[in-house]
Amino acid sequence: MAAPRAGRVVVRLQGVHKGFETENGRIEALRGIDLEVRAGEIYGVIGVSGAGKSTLVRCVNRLERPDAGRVEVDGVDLTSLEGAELRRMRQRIGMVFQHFNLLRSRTVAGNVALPLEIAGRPRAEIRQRVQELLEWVGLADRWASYPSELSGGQKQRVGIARALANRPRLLLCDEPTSALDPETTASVLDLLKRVRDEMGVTILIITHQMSVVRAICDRVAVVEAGRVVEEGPTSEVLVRPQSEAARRLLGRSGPRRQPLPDRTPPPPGQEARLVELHFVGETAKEPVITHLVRRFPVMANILSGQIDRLGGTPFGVLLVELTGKPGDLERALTYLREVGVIIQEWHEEVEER
Amino acid sequence: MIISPVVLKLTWEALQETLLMVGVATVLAELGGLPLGVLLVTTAPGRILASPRLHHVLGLIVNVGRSIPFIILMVAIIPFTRWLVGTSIGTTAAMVPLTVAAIPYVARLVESSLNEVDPGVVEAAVAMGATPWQVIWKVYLPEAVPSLILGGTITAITLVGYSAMAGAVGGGGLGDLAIRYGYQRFRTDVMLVTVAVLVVLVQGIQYLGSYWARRLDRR
Ligand SMILES: Nc1ncnc2c1ncn2[C@@H]1O[C@H](COP(=O)(O)OP(=O)(O)OP(=O)(O)O)[C@@H](O)[C@H]1O
Ligand SMILES: [Mg+2]
Repeated sequence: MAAPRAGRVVVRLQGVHKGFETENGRIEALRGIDLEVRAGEIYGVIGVSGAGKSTLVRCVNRLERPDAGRVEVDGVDLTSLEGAELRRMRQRIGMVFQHFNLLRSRTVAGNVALPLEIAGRPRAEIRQRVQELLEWVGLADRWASYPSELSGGQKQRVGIARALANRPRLLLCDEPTSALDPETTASVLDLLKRVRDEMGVTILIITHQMSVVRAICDRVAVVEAGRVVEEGPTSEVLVRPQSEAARRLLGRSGPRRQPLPDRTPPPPGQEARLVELHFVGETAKEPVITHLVRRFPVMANILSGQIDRLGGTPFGVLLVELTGKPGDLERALTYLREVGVIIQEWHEEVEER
Repeated sequence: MIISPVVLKLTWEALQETLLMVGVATVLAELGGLPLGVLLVTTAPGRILASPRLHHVLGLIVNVGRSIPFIILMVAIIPFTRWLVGTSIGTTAAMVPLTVAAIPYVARLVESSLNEVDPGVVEAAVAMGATPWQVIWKVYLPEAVPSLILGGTITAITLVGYSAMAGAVGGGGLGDLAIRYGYQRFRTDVMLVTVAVLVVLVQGIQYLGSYWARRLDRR
């Protein structure tokens, strides 16, 4: 489900390597990362702790210098930039942090003003821009508060306002919701989505939670041990994960963990098939199962189901037991495929994952 | 025990001398020690002005400065003091060794204050495209203000103690008074009054420093 706006490449990583010397020897955090983020999309990078996600995103604004490979932002190779040129580039890239990283000595307004001061904007412009941004994130009345007086969600709103102050075209988010409770997470993700929708800012977001990817990402890269092991539109990765890493990450947040209810064995001559049906986009809105049982002599027993939204698209997963004669079952499954349902066969051992 | 007006007058004058010595030396030592402390922090490996060699050299200088006992330093730099203020005796002359002794001390205190600043906040500023100078002025120093004030308080109190030693070799001040009258002339009343004034002075400095730091702490 690539966003319709997605266009030219904003971020391009090619063969990026990065290692760290530690007391226990060298750690290869990134082992050849290739990645492309296009204008206007929300691109997720997911992986477990230590996979190299933070190192990856920090290479994009050169908080880390890659050992090898290219990092391009807007077609400019950052690996060769130094001094004033590098700083100018950084002023055009916003960054949001897991732990907010607000200055405790500055008020909310002062924090949002900081990047503008750093960029040398005139005072009157700073005041106006700060006001505008605080209104936009819904914190205009808290401009004089100090970060210590705010909740986590409010702090992150300030962090986002601050990151947007210099009107960047690209926003980097390193686990922006990992320090927040689920409710606050949802509102911060909504805000990030508005950043893309209303300001047209391209977002590269790092997370270890599939739920974050599910909620806002158009495309996602799964990172494991410093490599991209899988990449694609979110719906595809969620529905048909190709890598073991993606399946593990899905297992943690997906709907498949529930134990299956007891089922009655099929009558003689018939057979039961467990299938997971994925409905993406328009098919999620249609009564596909009703049509199915009317048109084919099969029974459909819905064992579990979940409707979700992927970005703006409805997305449903049903675990269904279909019972009928083998031939009828095949025809029924063919029909489902034809109307756009993605089918995954369940075998009993799959339950373990 | 009745304290004579003469003792009170002597004590009052000595207190003024002590305040002047300590005040001037504290301010000058902060002026010298603050940049040193900033450099110690920012030239450390992985920091905004990372320069392992400079970091190492600065650390060495500061350590050497701190390891020389004050009383020896005071005598050793007499030629420098004389060159600078024209004499090696008196309150003004005492300010020179006090300042010199306190600079490396301040540098270490500043270093530890700045090291308490959240590295994430420094990183945020770097990510915004801040120059090292901007990171120092807009992040390190403002974020460390309460801690820097507490450090300055410690410096001032330490200098009160040092100034008594400087006083003993002709620097004037409360220490001088206590030694010359209280100890050498067996004037127990002078001894008691000066000690009492010193106790109150130290308490007062600590109270003001703590209060000021707390007022500015937004944690
Ligand atoms: N500055 C550093 N010095 C030494 N090792 C580092 C440094 N930064 C990262 N690493 C190591 O590189 C590997 C990848 O770290 P990174 O922070 O990129 O992982 P991550 O995917 O962001 O994990 P998390 O979810 O815990 O934040 C880890 O093994 C980590 O210990
Ligand atoms: Mg991380």
